[in-house]
Amino acid sequence: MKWLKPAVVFLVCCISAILWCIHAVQAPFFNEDTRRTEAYLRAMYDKLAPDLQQERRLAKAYWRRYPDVRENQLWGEDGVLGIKGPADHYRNHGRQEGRIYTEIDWPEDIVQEKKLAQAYWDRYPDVAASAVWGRRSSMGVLGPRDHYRLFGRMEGRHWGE
Amino acid sequence: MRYRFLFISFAFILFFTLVVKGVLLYQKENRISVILLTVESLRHDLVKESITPNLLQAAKSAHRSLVHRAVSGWTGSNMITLLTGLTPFQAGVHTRGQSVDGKLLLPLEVLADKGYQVAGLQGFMTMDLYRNLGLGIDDVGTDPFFWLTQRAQDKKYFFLWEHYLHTHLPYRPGKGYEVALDALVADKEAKQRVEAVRTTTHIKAGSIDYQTGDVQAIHALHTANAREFDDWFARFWELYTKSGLRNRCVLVVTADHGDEHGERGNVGHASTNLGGHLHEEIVRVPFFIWVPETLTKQEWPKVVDHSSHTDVMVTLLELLGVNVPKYLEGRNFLEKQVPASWFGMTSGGGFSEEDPANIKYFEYGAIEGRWKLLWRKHKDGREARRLYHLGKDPGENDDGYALYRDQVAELEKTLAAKIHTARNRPVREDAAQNLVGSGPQWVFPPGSGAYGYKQLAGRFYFEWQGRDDADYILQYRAGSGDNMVDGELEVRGVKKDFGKLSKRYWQTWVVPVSPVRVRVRRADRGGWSSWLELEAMP
Repeated sequence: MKWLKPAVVFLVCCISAILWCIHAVQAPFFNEDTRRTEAYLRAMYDKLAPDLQQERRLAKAYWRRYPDVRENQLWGEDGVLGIKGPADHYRNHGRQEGRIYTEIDWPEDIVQEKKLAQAYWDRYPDVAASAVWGRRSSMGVLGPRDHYRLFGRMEGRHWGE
Repeated sequence: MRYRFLFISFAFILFFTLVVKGVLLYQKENRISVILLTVESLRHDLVKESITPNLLQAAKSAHRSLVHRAVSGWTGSNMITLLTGLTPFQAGVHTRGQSVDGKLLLPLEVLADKGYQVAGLQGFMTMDLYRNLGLGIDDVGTDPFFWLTQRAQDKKYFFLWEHYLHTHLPYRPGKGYEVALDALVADKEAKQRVEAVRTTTHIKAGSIDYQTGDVQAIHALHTANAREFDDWFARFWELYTKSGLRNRCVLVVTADHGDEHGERGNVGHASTNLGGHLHEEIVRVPFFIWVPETLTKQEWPKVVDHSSHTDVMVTLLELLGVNVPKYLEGRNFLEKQVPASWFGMTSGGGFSEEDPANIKYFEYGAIEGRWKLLWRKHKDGREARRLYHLGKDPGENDDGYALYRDQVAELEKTLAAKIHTARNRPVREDAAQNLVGSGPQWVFPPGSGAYGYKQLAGRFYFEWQGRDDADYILQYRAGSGDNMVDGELEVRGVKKDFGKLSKRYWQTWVVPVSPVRVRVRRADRGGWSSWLELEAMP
């Protein structure tokens, strides 16, 4: 049995060395392909990783703009997807339907905002009648500012009392 | 002596641990993953060099099927076949509210047991249609590109089903893919008919009488959607190849089903027009499969003559080295070529069947060689059969049922035996009410909006359509943040009257918690009404 001890040590060392070599060859340090792949994956991860706080704000804004989505059993506020619902809806349907997936600006002074909103609606009846930004929309007094930010200023509309 | 014993024991444990670790590592790195990418409503004739160059460029390294057929006229039924290998006759899922038999041990469940992460990432995959399949929905809502990046990094093996949806009706091409319709339509009426295709998700059969001249314009719109998909696929292909997934992941690209472009007077498919059928524009879809080099066999043909959705799961299981359940009727079409033969079955209304418990009609189909028989059976007992020769009449315009009795007799016998085995799974009880807007309609206030004290004349109440002798639940939410209050009220009848409010009460208690949101539903059954959002003006 004298050979047993060195044989076991030898075997363990051999297997360890083989495993080490296999992985060393595949390691980015030695392998250009692996290095390139890992760099690509890191870049993709950084680009695509979601910011959950922002996703929550975006979800709330989407629900606020689109009550039909908010009420939906799947994508809605009480839907099974939670705050992922609006992103999923936008990715698969909303984008094609021309919906908007951005945050909503919340005014500091709601009383002043109501006056501004009324003025904007009075000035632009098409906005006042809009299902998304109008007087009877679920956006309420937040609608006109949202409309102005997204479209109005580009269309040369006026914001103010 | 004791030390020697300890040393030997320790050395052996270390040795075997290393061996096991090595084997597991080898297995993990060599286990093959699967991406099943289905494209909504992509007809086979939308895949050509002028429309989908990126897909066809990538397909140079793929195996493809020259004639691949779906097995049903709507998404759910076809997807169940793709994900389980069960034919629609076996699965028995023909409309919403149905699911496959939970007692069956299905392929995706077997893969999950073997350690695969089996995932679907899109919201609609949580519907009861896709229950009992073994499809994990924990990651639903995650961007597929991000999810695949993570899997490429952590090297976990997986089965991912991703469904590209933007090729579904309405055919509304995105920015940069616009179609000049005026040049394609004959007159104002034709433009109106085609405009519906650009704006509507459902166009019920018979509601618009599409003419032969409309086909070109409708086709052009759908073509633009297919181009958009092709650019999306280019980004997907970049991830698939540059992330290393190409070396350890089988990729399948196919469509759930095709779409009619007005050839028979309708647009869309069973779920969108309720006039479901199994003509070639619905069942012929593209099919490509990319297999990692380590699995590819030289003798596999680059182009397979024909295949169907029923064959896909069997082929995948054999590629993954997983035993194929005996009840699956498909074949590994890379290994085994057989004469053309196909069976299909669809409900007339697919997902949108008017009453899921009473499907109006089924259409069954069978192909042997070049002959195709379509057999429609209505709930009221009426039947209609059509026979086509796909070689001479690929557009299926000339019904040869009365002329070719020998072919009819043979096909009828085969299809009748198949129909005899067809199952129809139970429908979930509330499926009929599961559609959007199924709850009570608001009477007062009539809709969301801003209301002042004067408008309500000091009297605050909610009223909805329904029965006076029924119980309802009124759910409310008011205010926001720390000041938010919410709860439910039980109401008998269709009105909840809060009585006359003083102006002071309105200003003190109602305005500060504005907006107030309420919705209502029957206490015993049915869905919720839409939310009513009321802004209380000072």
